[in-house]
Amino acid sequence: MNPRILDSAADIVFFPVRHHSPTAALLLSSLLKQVKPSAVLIEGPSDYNEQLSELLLDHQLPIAIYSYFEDALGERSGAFYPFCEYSPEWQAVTQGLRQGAKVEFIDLPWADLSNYSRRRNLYSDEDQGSIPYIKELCKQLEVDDFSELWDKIIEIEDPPLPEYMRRCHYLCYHMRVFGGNDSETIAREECMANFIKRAAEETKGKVVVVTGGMHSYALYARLLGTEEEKHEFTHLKEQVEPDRLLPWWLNFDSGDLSTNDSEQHASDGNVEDHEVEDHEADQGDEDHDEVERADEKACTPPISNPTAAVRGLALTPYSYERLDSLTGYESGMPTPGFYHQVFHDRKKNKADSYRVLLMNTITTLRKKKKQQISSADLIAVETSSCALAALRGHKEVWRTDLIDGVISAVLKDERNFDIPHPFLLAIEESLRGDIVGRLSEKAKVPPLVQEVETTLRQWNIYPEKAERILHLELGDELASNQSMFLHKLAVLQIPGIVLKASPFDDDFEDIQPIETWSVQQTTGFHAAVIEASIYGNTLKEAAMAKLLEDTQRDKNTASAAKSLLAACLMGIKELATELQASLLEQIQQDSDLLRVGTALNHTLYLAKYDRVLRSKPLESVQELLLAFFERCLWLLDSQGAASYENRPIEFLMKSLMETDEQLKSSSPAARAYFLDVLKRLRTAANTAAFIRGASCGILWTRNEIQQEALVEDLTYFSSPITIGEFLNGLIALAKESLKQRDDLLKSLDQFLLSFSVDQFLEALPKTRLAFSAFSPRERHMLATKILKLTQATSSDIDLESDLDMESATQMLILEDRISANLRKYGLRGLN
Amino acid sequence: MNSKKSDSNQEIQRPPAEMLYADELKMLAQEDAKQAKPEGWLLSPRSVIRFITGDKKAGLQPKFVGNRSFLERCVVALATSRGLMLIGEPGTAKSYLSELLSAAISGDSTLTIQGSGGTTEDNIRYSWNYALLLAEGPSPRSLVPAPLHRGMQKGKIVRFEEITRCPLEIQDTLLSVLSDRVLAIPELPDDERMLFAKQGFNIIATANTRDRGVNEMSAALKRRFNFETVQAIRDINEEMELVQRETTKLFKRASIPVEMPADVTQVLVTAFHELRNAKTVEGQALEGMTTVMSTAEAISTGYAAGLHAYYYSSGSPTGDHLVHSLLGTALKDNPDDIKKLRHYFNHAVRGRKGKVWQEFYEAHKHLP
Repeated sequence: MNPRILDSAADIVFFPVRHHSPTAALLLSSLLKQVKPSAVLIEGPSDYNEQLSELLLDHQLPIAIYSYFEDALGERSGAFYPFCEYSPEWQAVTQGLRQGAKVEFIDLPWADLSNYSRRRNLYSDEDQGSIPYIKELCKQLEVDDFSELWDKIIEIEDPPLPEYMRRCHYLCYHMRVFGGNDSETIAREECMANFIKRAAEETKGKVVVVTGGMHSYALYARLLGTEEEKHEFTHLKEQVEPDRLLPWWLNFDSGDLSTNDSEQHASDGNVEDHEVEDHEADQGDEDHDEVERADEKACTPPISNPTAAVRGLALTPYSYERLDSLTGYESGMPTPGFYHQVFHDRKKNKADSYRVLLMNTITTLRKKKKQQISSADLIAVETSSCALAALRGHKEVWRTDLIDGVISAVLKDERNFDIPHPFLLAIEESLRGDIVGRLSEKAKVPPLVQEVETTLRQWNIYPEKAERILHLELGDELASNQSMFLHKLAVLQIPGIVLKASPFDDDFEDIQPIETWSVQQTTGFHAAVIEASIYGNTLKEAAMAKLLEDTQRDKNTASAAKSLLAACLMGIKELATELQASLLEQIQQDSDLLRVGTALNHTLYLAKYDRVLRSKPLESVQELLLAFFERCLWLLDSQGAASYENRPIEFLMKSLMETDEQLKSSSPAARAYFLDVLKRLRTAANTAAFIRGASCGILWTRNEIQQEALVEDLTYFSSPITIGEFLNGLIALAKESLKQRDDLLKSLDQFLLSFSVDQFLEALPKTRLAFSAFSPRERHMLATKILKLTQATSSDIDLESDLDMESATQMLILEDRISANLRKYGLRGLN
Repeated sequence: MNSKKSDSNQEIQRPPAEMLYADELKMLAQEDAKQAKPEGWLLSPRSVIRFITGDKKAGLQPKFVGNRSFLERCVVALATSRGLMLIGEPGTAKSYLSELLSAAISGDSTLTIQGSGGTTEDNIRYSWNYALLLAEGPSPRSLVPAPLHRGMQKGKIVRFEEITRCPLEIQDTLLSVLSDRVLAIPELPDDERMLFAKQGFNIIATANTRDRGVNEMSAALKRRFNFETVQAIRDINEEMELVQRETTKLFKRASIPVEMPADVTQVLVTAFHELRNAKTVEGQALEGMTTVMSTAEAISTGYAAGLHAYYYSSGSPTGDHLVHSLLGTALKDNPDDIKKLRHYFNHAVRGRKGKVWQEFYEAHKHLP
């Protein structure tokens, strides 16, 4: 590594950072003040440069630049560049702009980058742990992972600028050498190098380049390096084992530090400073010339993604919860709240940031979880944390020391890694911080956000901190419009907008169809609306696109029917018509009975809704309903013998019965087909007992078969193994009829009485399950009825007994054994 | 002298850690001569951890597999005014870790109290030489110190194994000792009535979570301990390395010229790992066994398979020997475990490639 890159007074300063590092942010800030560069170039989306001044508005951090695009094939993707106060990039942008420097983002736009990468957070740490060099270094420094390694050598030590440059460049140089050059990195660096080159040409003063440390040396080599340096950079990996390159500034207990590769010579502090000075004296302003001599290839303009049809960039609020690697997805450094505290404390030259966080934790525990912590425990936590920090060689108590201190001193039971301890959760919460960003009111937002906000305000339904419940009468025009609007937001999964109840949730149809919505301001509300812009610029467009994407993702009739329902509720006619047409085609190809059943259920629901929807999105739901009904019957007819779980079949049968009611006037042929299928199922020898019971139940309710036929069926299934299943199906579908007709109860009672104790016990669980469809009051009524039928008096059997099932069964078994013994010894003539 | 020591080592069936690793401890103590260490400790906290995790370059053998922050917490707990309580499933090397810690810190791992239903205060604190007691009355001469007394007197770590097996009132003997660091001996004359613990004294207790757990322990005593849960080894490669190393050691100690072939160790450890976590390495769910499939059990299974192979067959253990030894480990008292094990062989083992896996599968016919 050429030590010239360490020079913070060079014309082009390559300042290496780890995204979201408070130490880097503070040092960079003082460097910018000191150097007063005429250009500050930052790793970030270069297509945002025109809007850069927006970042200076009075936002409350954390916020993120959200970049999204849709390619020609209609595939959408979006990514974030999050900033918090302690982000070096944030310091660079805001301070650079305030100092009047030319500030630019120099990375490829996301739309072009997405060819290579599927990352969602462009300022996240990539997987550093797998780099052999880092593995070795972690082992030597006695830390568990890269975050701890970085903390140990940079954040905790808080080195002065020259030392920071040395450590960070040295570390990142080797990470890059052993981490490999992928095509994404190379394309990005090509773009960055172009920007740097142009800026160096255009400006007279100094240029500060702020990029992830992994890129710094590569950019240096590309722009200013000699052929030899470039070669060394790319070939070091093959020549040296990583453990030969461990940094000289680590105080190892063991290991020979005076290894004799060229690295070590160059890295000796004194020699290096000397060299830098020499170099400076010799070279003066030659850097600019060298830039021009840089690789020809680097002069080509950044490649652009020709397939990106729609692009957009917008600021969006972010939160520490999303930023934390413990909870967030592809986030940056862990425990942002901790680094936030460190950043602010260090600005004021205060130490021991952990104390504030520990106190926050205790407050959280007291207020939210209603848990007290004793002073003795608190002392133990602090003692353990300090002792751990000392053992680990930390200058001050760090985040890991605090967590381990809590684990060590407070947790008193077996540690269950799946269910964390409340104290541990509270300390993690406090280390994470609960800061949520807010955009300045002057910030430009995508048109979708404007539309949503205006509409919400116009109707006076803007979400507030306290939950609001809206009752929308669908017959009313305004309410109907509001309902369609809220359904669109729900499809876009905007948090805080929840449909609490629909008019057709239960079996009873309301006279006044009312939807109940809950509207509440949540932390992610604004961000979600901004991020929904990925689907379109108007709400209708976005909701349509999102729904179509969902439908296409899981292509099946059930989800398509659900989407159709959603489209109708949103009142988007063209989408509903399109979905209906494709659904009609799909039906005939789907041979999964339960899936078609679910689709039927959605359509049935839609048919009910359709009557009250003012927008009338579909010409005729009946046609679709009929198609599903017939398909279901066909599948049931041919697959009735297959083994299905009882619950879904029960739902299916109920849906069929209800659809039959709906269709009885419009298509009598369908009803005839329905009854035919049921009759076939009832008589076919191989039909599963449950389905057969259910079919019997429906036919009986519809008066298609007589009592005798039913008793016949019951006889057929009267073995202890099947009677429960049959009854299950029968009761599920003909509960009401069964309550009213005594004769069937009587025959059932006779069958059960004819069982021996063993047989009865075998039949008991399923039979009990079948009767659980009745409410306790109904069961009581039935029991009284049976008592009457058998002419027993209530004194024979105690219906009020609170004997539990287990004891009753035990009693029965005991009684049976006693009888058997009595019989055996001929004591009583029991039969 | 060295050879004499190693001879005597050879005669002892299981020498304690301080004897077995005497050279390593000596070297670390020399290195630490000028380092700051807690009062009464032989090594600095960093060296204690190095001794336990090992360091190839410095010639320190790795002894225990566990993550670093866990070990750091254990060592720090011992340096504070609380005791250390190691809890976890049986066979997770809790006792071994406590032995290593006391060997490294005090150079003596033998001050051990074995907790059981029959443990009395006499076993913990002190008792009397009754002949002397009758002849001379109570005096330091007639007092027979138990491990706690000795640990306090000499400033050493005392180990309390399976503390939760003791009755509650016996466990609570430790209360005043842990908080005030003093042991009252009311029988002795005034000036010798109080035994104040010397610097360096502390207690490492272990408890397993299978039998009675720590729920019954008094809150007062819990407060005086820092609790650490010892986990089964998560990384299958590390576990393989450990099992290979330990079985080799055992064979050597038994003077049997047998070596566990690497592929046999792999099958053994994989099977234990899968049965313990109720999940195959490919991610398929299994029924969890009720027996403890710990690393310690894996080592003894491997050792048993080796002995079997050496004395009764060709010499080198195969998949067949593994199954024979596995049965005794995996099938204890729950009849359902047989079904679960059979299911494991039929669903997870059957399709696996490799000679040892096939032998292993073939041998499932030995299942009862």
